[in-house]
Amino acid sequence: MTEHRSSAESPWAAEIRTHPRQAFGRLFERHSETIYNYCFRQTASWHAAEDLTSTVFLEAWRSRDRVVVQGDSLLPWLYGIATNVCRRRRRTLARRWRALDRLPREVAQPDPADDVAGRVDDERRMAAVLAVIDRLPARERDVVGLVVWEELDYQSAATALDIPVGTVRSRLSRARRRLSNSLAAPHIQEQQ
Amino acid sequence: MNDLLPPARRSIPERGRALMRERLDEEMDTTTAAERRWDGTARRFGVPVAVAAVAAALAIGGYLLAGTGGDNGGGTGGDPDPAGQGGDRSGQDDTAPKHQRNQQEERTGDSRAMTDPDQAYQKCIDRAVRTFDLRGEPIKQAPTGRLAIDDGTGITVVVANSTDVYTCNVKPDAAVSRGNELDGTAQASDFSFALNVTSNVLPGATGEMMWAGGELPEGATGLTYAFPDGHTEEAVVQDGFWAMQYFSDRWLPTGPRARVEVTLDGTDPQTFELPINADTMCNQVSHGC
Repeated sequence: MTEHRSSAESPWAAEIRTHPRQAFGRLFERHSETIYNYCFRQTASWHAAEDLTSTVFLEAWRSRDRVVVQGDSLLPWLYGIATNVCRRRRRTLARRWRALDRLPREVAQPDPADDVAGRVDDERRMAAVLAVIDRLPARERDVVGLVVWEELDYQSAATALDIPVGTVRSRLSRARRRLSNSLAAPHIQEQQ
Repeated sequence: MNDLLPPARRSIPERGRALMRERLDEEMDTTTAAERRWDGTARRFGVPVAVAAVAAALAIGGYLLAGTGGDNGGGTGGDPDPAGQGGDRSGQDDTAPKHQRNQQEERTGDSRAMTDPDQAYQKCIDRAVRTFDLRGEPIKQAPTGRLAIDDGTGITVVVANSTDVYTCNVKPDAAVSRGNELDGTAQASDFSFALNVTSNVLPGATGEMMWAGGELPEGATGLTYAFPDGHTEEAVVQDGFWAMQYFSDRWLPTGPRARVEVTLDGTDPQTFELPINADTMCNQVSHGC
């Protein structure tokens, strides 16, 4: 992955080195919403997505000396951190709730100014989608999440997951095959 | 097939967005201030310390050559073990009085992670005010009680006003526990601990941070948490308050019989058992219990 590492020429890398606070402020303003929606799609909980998005930016700040710039963007790097944060949460929840022999139900924290009903509906729908996607091995699920739902190109997904581009391609292909076996083929198109 | 497509994107609710930004700003403030202090210290003391170290090394080397023939010239020049690494403090002198043990913990903290205690208290106060709307209590100006732990793995502080006590984990989390009334009595729920699954507490370390704090019940002189991984953590006690934090780099064992045992020392020794479940601890990163 060295070809994706930040270099002195990268404006983001330079800004993070010289004005890290301002750079991360801008990074948050620019990408927090994207990461928030990604975290929702990993958890089916808007409430958890808020917590996780916050954690993603804290972890990004703490690992700012290991920043990875893809093209001119730090978004794939943030997606990578978010993937790990969401995976960790899934493991922890599974572990804790398995022990209690019951399933977690996130309690929605309604915001009065928000479309509460719509959000509850989103959660129900996303939970149903995840119930299917969760049948995939975690590494294939990550690729589906990034390439299909987030519409990242293969190179960016490879950067996010720190794997070769060819592996992204093959995992996606396997995921599509597995899903096709149990359902009608979803909208998972090969990128050109 | 639309069944496998997620719902449309949504904006972050204003309040949530503000809290996220605030949390990030707090973290950036804390680290940059600590780094600045560390840089300043290094600049001020770097050269004299280096000179002193060379002089000391020469003196010790001379002594060893004179006294032992220089066989041990390699010495043990390794870095001291960082405080709290892996949460295992088994090497600590368990026979020492509690307050001395607490001092040991404070001394072993990583200086780069140290935060100005006043800054940590203020963060906890601000968060408590914001989260619980303290109904005009004067905690903001003059907390009547306070206590801070900073052992290199994290920072947990306790602040109190005239009626309630609040515990915060300032690092690696940024959360406040629910307020407890100051009434001097003890019940199991007073010892509920929050848990945060976290990473980067220490370089390369991922694990769970457990923390709790509050008012010391009447007659109690100290309290100990016994975790199901075998670790026991003595609470730091000061001015009628207590606080505990334990960073474990392994998952805490769970299961139907997994319990955390809290033992109160003092005139009326008591033991409480806390089951490990969602009712006794929080794993949400920005909410108290």
